[in-house]
Amino acid sequence: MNEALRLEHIYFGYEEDLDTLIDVSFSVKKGDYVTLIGHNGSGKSTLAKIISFLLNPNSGKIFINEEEINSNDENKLKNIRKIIGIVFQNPDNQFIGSTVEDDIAFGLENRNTDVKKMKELVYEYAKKVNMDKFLNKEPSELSGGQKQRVAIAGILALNLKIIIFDEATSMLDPEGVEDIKRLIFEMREKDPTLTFISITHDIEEAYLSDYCIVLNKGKILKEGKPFEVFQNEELISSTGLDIPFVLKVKNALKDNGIEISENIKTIDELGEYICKLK
Amino acid sequence: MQIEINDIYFTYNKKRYDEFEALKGVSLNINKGEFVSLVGKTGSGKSTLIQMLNGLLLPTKGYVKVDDFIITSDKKLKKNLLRNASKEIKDLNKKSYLLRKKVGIVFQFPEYQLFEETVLKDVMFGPINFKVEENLAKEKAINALHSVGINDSYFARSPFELSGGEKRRVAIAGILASDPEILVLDEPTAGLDPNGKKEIMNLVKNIHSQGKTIILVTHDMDVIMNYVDKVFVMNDGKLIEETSPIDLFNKENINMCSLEIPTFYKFKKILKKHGFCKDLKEINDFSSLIKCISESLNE
Repeated sequence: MNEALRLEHIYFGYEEDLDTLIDVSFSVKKGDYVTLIGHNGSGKSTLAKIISFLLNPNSGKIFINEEEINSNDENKLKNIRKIIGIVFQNPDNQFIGSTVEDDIAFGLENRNTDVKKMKELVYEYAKKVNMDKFLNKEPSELSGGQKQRVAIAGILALNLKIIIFDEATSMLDPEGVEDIKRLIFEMREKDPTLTFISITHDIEEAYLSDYCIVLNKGKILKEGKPFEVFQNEELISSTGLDIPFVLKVKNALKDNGIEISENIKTIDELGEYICKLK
Repeated sequence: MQIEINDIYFTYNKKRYDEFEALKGVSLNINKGEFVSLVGKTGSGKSTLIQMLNGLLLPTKGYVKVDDFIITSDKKLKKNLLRNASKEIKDLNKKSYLLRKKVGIVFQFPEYQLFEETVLKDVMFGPINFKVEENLAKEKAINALHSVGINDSYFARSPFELSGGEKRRVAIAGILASDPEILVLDEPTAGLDPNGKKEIMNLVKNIHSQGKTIILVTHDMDVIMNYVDKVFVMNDGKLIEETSPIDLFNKENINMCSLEIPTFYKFKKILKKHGFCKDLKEINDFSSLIKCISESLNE
């Protein structure tokens, strides 16, 4: 069992035309960090809702851990919610508790977590997202970024197996984004089977992911290892997406007869590599 | 000087256990028609500061002057400052809605605040609120929608059916419909793809070219690099820097303001750190950098 998730021929439309998602199929390996990129309106968020069983596709099949999940099967869905969780872009759509503490506790409460254990978990995860000093605050007293931190803590505390971030850090400043990335990294180190799907506009994040899926007008335009996906610069640019900086430098240097190893992925590695070439 | 910020302080929840001083003596000036940006990490006081500009928050100490409006919670100070002013200006200062009309603020993710049944009604809400009669409000709304590139076929649709980028443009039109002289935008490009970003920023540029003052709060250094003339850097409730975008990115200790500098400048710093043999100070675009690296390797 190496597969966390598989989609087969998913079609979806908000009205009669089934053109929001058109024949979308892909599979995700357990433990991978997958990025889903594409222009605004390409169908990314819809796809995220389908993966997390908040929307039913008009046709197509979804497999979790190689088992087909039928959205009419209430029992199975209940179990699925113990495995998959999603954090949305707009934190106001998911702030349910009357205080930060209540909100982080909400998912845990739903699973009948022991009260003492719950308090501990709430505090632990509030601390991890730097919100432990705000436990008694109401949502109206928080900034957008703080609410996003709370939403993230609420999902991370649930010990899930597949976590989906739909631009979940869009309101955080760069430092805040780094904090959350570090936190996710630590969680994946601890549990190598934790699968993470990130819907993002951050092309550099996509370049560093294990697997990247590019959506364009409801269809999968390209998928695979990032260096393969971004190899065709023209194709990617034509969908309004940027090319990762490292790849841009590599390609430009290649035109001047300088080859850079495929293993170089980050700008740090690239800078060091170039200085050593000399 | 259109905007004069004079040693302002602001404390949230004063005299409560969670009292928090968000601004600790900030002074800065902005001229009419300038395109400036306010940067700094979360909690540095940016959002507090912009809310002072149209009187949504009042400085606990010090004052803000926007044209003839004096903004402060210190009544004595206000009286003093207006002592020699004409009756007109004194009257003006009693009508805070006129200040709100002059300074339009587009908050973060403004599309979350759309609420009317149709796009047109939503954009008309502002002018009607400012006591403009319905027909004129409609005309202003239509003009504003056209100026953000939303055509008539959208007017009767529900704002909730639009895409993210479209919603944001409608929300901006909602502010433009009241014809503000100063436009403040809080993170206008957050959550948009590169095309959406370009669309919104070209729109802002266009508004600026009509003579309006633009104040942008952003973490997006590419936006700053391509559009802004002057940057104010805030840290811990204070103004720590007033500079041009290029000077800012070439600084050594930029990290302290939690700014995400453009990858290009980050890369330049990394090369320098690893002892790259050439001076990159004057290299400020991609192709010159590639040329410089290639030359050094082929030497």
